Amino acid sequence: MIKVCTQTFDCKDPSSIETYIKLGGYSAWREILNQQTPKSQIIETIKDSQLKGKGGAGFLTGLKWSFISPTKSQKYLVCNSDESEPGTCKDRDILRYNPHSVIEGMLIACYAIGASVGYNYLRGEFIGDQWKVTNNAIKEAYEHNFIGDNILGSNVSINIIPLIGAGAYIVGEETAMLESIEGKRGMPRIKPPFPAVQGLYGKPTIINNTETIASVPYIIKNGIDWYKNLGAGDAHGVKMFCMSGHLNKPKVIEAPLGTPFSKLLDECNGILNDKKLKAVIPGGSSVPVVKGEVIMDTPMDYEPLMKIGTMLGSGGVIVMDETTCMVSVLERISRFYYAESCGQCTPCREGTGWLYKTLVKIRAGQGDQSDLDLLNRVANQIEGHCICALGDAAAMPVKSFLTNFWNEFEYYVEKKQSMII
Amino acid sequence: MHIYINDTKFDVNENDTIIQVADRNDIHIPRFCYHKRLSIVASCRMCLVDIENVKYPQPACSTIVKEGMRVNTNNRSAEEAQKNTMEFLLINHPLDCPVCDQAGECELQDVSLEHGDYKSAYKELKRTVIDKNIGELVSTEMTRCIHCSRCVRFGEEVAGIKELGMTGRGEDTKIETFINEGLSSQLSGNVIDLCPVGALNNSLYKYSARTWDLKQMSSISSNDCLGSNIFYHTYNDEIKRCVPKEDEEINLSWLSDNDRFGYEGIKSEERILHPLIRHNENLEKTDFNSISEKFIEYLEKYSSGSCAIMSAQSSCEEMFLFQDLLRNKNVKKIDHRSKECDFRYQKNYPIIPSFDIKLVDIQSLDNIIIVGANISKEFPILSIYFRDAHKNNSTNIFSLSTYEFEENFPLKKSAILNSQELENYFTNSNNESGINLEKSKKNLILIGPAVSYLSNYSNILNNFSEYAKSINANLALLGDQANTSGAWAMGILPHRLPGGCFY
Ligand SMILES: Cc1cc2nc3c(=O)[nH]c(=O)nc-3n(C[C@H](O)[C@H](O)[C@H](O)COP(=O)(O)O)c2cc1C
Ligand code: SF4
Ligand code: SF4
Ligand code: FES
Repeated sequence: MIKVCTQTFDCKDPSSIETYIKLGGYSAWREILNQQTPKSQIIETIKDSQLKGKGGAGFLTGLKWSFISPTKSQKYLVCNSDESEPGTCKDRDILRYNPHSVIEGMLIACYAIGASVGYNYLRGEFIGDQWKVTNNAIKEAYEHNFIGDNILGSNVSINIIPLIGAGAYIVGEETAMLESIEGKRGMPRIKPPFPAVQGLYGKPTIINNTETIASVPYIIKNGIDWYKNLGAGDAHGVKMFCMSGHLNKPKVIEAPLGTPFSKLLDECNGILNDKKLKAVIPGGSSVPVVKGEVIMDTPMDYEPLMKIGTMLGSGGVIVMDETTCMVSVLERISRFYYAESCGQCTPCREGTGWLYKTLVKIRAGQGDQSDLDLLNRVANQIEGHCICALGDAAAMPVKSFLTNFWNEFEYYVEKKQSMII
Repeated sequence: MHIYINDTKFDVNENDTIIQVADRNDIHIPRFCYHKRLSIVASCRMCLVDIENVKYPQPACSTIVKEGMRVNTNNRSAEEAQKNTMEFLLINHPLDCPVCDQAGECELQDVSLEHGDYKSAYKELKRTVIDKNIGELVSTEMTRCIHCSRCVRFGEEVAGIKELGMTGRGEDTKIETFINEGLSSQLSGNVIDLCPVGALNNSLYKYSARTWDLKQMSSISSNDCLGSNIFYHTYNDEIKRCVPKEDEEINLSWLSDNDRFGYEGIKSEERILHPLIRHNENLEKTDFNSISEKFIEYLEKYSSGSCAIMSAQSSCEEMFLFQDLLRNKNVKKIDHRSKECDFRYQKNYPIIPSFDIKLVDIQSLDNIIIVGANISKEFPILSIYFRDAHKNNSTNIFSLSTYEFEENFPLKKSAILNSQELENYFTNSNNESGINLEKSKKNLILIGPAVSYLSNYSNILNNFSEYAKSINANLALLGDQANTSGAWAMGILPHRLPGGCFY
């Protein structure tokens, strides 16, 4: 088993700075400070490692960093720890068990893009545990002078500031997060301008997911080839997969990108009670659902999942067995986007409610065939017509559930009850 | 640089948005959230247009032009997108046009007629929103709100007070004031015009007429000396409401609440509608014919020892005739300055006191010193220019006053002084003012009406004029009545004739 972001997970006292340092932590950061490594070299390394954003879109991290405006003005780094995508539960573990990898990653990223301040924005619900661990870890790092002014006598000064949200899914969208940090209502901004040009307080800003950031120190320490070769088959690198649903042993697995789905299933000791696999949502509730048989041998990587009509997304793998009523799953997913739309774009604000209410009606046995066409039409009217991707995220499940399980929906509206008993 | 809209070629500037190009060339693109004087949020999605080689339709209000871009505002893709947005906007709209004051001038009605469908596929329950009491002037019917956020942005960006905001999420998003507060800004009435639907309404006009029955007459507001351009809307020869008339050099698209609602005064029961004549203790009603005879009779009898006061709320024509009549009858002491007591300044005062620069040039000033005026209360329209100057040009604004108040733009420094301290503010040898303006900068000193009521007004005016000269500043003189400048020009003064000749 390879371990990157999960390296400290099984240690005693995993979140302490001693544990992290014992495993080689902060050596990458020390090295950079000692060598005064050129910023461009770090960005090139991350680029060549093929590290892709783990927050959902899978954008090349090094490439994103290279877009940072070269001006001398104030710049910011934001670590996106808002992890709220249903089915996703990896960042919470990193924050809880390996918080120093996030801090070291943020320091290196700040250095590389020329930011003197990095914010780590945690989702509101993390206030109980991760928030405390994060604050404590930052305190430890300050005490060791890994953060702060004139770090380890190098003349480099970087401050890391933790923030906590108030429970809105939408602030996970990067520009809504910037608004929230600025003290405004968390609503996505129109792009362009992109944050790398005009971000937090109007200054160039890079936003990365917690897992992305946590991978950075390991790549700097172990090199490009090491990270690339961790992948299976054609894939590069690793990813944390949050295996949930009808599994004998649901868990978060850090595995090579490109690992076949069947192998992840084995790691979880197979489907609960040895039932048959019906469907999988491989990247958090926003990505299209696929039938079980289609995904079984698919390598869990960006391209292959695209080929079967879905996405790797955040790595939230939701597994459903044959006892699952797809109509009721879709109703539940739609409720989420209905409740979490920020409400500024007309199609998303009004459309998500329409989708949800129609599904409630169908489930109550009051729908008919025309409601299924309506669902498809409304989803199409939302998709691509909004400011942020939440609109698409609300539309894609609807379209894919209908496409893949049309007969089940048809059965429901005809017989006024679920096909699954 | 050029782009094509509906296959016609147009010259464009580099940072134009598609909607700006279309508006300049009279190509209609429907919109709700876009307003030329507010920031762009591109959230209503009504202005979606088709752009060649772009997968989805894009908002015309936020999309910047690119060389050779081919835009279609009315092909199938664009029309379908617009129709879809319209459908979404209407599913939760109450469609209560028959009882809505906005009907007839409603943007939602207009756009729906042109781009919508006549029937809806929506069969679920509609949203209802509980109304809020947000004050005396603006009534609400929030179920009608289409969440364009124009009202919210107006408060933040123009009025400088964040009074309305969005609460809730998704379908439950609401426009509300901050925890049970009402609107208090002197510009709050503008949200009535900004709201494209009947969600924010004119309280005083409510249910009193239908828009299509109104007659429109243009006029000038007599509320302050800025002279905002207005339209009166009348029904059965009665003024029903007052709305702004766009004017790029004065009130832009806005009105102060006093401009907008001031006409209510003419309905006051205390208003004198007939001439009154005093018999001992009593004032008795009479008519104009009998009073004018009496007036001339009295004038001839008592003229030499008499003085005459005329309000500067009058028109120039009235004032000219007034002084002409009186002077012919030998009345020498004529004046309009009923609140002043120190007149030593009058010899050197300008023939027509004025603002000295155009309002639009406030934008380019480096420094403004306000002397004795609460701009956001007394001249709300002016405060919009000051806010913009500060925002776009980092203009420093200083306030010197004899009493305490708040402004809706940031003050670099403010000082509360007594009249003596005000007089000596820039003449004290040990200048502790902390205001050090350079001659090379663009400076303005503004003297507010309240200063003229002080007993040392002449000295204050003299000292500030001297200081203005020394730093090359313009001197803006604001009158306390709508036509104070006219009163000076028309010779409603003891020492000057119309046109400024000494008397
Ligand atoms: C509705 C919505 C919610 C999102 N939520 C999250 C989130 O909780 N965590 C996250 O890292 N990215 C989230 N994202 C993606 C971010 O916008 C952004 O792409 C990401 O943080 C970039 O980091 P990465 O390049 O490291 O993946 C969300 C995006 C959308 C549209
Ligand atoms: S798509 Fe939905 S969540 Fe995203 S900005 Fe628009 S209304 Fe808000
Ligand atoms: S109240 Fe009117 S102006 Fe304000 S958001 Fe609603 S529709 Fe727009
Ligand atoms: S007018 Fe362009 S999106 Fe509202």
